[in-house]
Amino acid sequence: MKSFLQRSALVLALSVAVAAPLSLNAQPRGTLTVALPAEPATLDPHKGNTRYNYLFNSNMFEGLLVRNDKADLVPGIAESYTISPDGLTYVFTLRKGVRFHDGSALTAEDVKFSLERAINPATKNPLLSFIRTIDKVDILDANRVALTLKEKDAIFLKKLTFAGWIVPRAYLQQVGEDGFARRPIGTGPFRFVSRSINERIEMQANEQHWGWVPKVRTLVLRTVPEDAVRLGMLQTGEADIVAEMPPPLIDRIGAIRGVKTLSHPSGEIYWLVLNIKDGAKDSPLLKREVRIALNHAIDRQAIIKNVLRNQAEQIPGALAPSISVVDPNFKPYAYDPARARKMLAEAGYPNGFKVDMYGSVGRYTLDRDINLALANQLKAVGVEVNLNLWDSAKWVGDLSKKYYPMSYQAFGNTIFDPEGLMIFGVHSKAFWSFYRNADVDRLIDESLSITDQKARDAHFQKIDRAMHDDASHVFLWENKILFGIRDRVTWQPRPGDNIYKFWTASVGK
Amino acid sequence: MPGTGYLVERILQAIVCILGISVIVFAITFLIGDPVHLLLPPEASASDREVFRAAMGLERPALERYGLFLFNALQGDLGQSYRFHMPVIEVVLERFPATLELAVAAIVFAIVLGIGSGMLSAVRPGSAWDRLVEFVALSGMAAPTFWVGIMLIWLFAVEWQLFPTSGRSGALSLVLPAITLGLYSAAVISRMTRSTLLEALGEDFVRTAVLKGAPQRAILFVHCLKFVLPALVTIVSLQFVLLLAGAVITETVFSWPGVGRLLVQSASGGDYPVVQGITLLLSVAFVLIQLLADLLQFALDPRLRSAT
Repeated sequence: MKSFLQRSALVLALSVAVAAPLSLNAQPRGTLTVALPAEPATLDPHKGNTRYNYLFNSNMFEGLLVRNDKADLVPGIAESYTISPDGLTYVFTLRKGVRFHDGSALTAEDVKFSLERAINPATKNPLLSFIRTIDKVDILDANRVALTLKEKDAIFLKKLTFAGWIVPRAYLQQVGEDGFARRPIGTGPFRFVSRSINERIEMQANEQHWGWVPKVRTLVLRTVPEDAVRLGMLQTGEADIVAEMPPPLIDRIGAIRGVKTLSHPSGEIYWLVLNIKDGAKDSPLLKREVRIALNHAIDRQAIIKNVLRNQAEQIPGALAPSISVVDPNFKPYAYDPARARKMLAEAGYPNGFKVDMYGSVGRYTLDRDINLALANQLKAVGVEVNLNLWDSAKWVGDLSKKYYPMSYQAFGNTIFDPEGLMIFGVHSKAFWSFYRNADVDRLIDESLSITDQKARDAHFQKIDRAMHDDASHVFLWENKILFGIRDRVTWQPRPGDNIYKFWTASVGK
Repeated sequence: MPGTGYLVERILQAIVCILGISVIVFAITFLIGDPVHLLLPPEASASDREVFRAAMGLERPALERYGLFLFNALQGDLGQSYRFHMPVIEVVLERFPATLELAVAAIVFAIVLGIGSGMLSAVRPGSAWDRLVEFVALSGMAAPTFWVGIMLIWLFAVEWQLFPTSGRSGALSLVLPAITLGLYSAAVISRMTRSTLLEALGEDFVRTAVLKGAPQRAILFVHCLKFVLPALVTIVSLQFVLLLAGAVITETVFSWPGVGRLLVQSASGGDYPVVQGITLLLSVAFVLIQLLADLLQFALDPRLRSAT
């Protein structure tokens, strides 16, 4: 009997010794429920294009490199990589022991299959533009994959991380395209459990993850479009985190017991886009003095305070301070209506001028109110704005066939590099740009070959200054996303990152 | 068979109606604008957009696309969703049970409340009860759905926490959306029941029954009901179709995962095949239910049969 006890004690001691290192990584525990206003349509990472797709992807899938919860680019499925001197060939060495959520081992075949699928036009990947420089994917050996690019791309790795999600070849071929979108499998910190479309997505901690085992066992993403209902869910405890609340509700959220608000810089910049690229040749907006005058006409602080309830930060140029380096001495155009009038008069418009402005309703936070405020402030200095407010779908749908002389727009952050904004939102060749300036174009072209981060930061500041001096746009603000979070939750998203990552979130009692 | 001619006429009418709807639906998606800009991120270049447009078959002329849409629809293929990348018919049918569940619950609520209160009003017209019902019914018709929904959520889910605020998780979660959705129909049915019943109570056969000394309950539930039923079938079936198609706001307020939500999302997200598919399916359902109601009338009302 005694010896049995002794043996048991020994076994117990041994098992404690074995278990000890594991218990440092606490077991995932509890359920975190997040209420969002919308959700991804398809769950296939190569086919979706909304922020909610990106959110789902980054919690569920991984690329060769991944972004951690601080949004830093770190090794993911690849543990290391080398870049050839000509910058055209990237060789990735795969991390050993990476497993998909169904337990199968990830192989070089999966990587090749996934990237070829992501760039195949037949996949209809909306994010193709990020990785279209990939020419071919070769398997060098069981652990190494080479990507050859058609042309050099200074931030290829950032783009690849955004769009190059790795999916399991065997599983996908077995269940088919639709089957995969219904029950996706990846390698990320969370694995898919179930979904009720337009209602909820349930995920569970992937305890086999190579590095980031989530702190919560279950993650539920609830889709609740009605703001007041999300607010109610916070009050009843049905939701732990409610995201993207309208700024006017900030006091209501703060008044709920056991709940705090979080104003989260989004990395998304807002501006009044002045069309000087196409359309009217006699547009007053073509004159730099007029554009500067418009910049002086807008009282940004008043709109930020009264309409956006302080859920925005004024910016001097186009760079978002949360993701780019912005010189603290770089000051925004001051609100000075008298000066705006004077400059308009000097530019030859003593009585102002007429201009059409097109605004969306339902595309951006409080866009109707902000459009009205902007138009009124411009009217106050003599610019007769004819404001047309359109439903978001119509506003976007007519973008390529209609001439919008002036419109309130935003540009979001996806790859943590101003290149996205510059190449796709400023350069005159871009579809979504309405600006034309040969000097700025040249500066942007130059940025493409700068790889050193410090040099890039400096160069983009230079571009930002050039745009500011030319008054390329009426620069406004970087907005903040308003969250309500229950006190039992510990979660800190990285400022500027609007692709929320939940594996470091934890819930208490 | 009596009434065959009538039946054929009604079916032909239905087909013409559905065809007309398909043209309108297709035309409207053109007015909204180019879906490619909604489906691609700002980061896509002009050439990316062309490639994508071609892959989606959007570069073909409108007439050709409409022809193809109609041809495929006749074979039960409503195309591929731009956002789900799955067949439209699957995407829609998957949501349909939720919408049907909500509509059935709402109509049951509306029938019980509507017929019950309407009958009580008719029995004592002009009484305090009658006036109260009238007031409530008119309020029910006038109150905007989203307001009713949010008020119910705020009172019953947030303040008293008797029901979940939203979502579809068991019978409890059905209560508030069903009431919100059914309120208007209940009001309509209540008014309708009252007026037809009042009319019936003034008919000769009722007076005869009263003179014969038939009990009031028998007069109400046997004699009058037969008279009132055809009118109620019409109004209830009409209301039911409206509930099926009109749950958009209720579904949005309660995050109910049904077809109405899908319709709104697809319209604002540029997923036009889904918009076209839902509208077409709903109009087919509408026309079929109306047809069914007409046939039911035929069975219930002997006067219709003898007329043909």
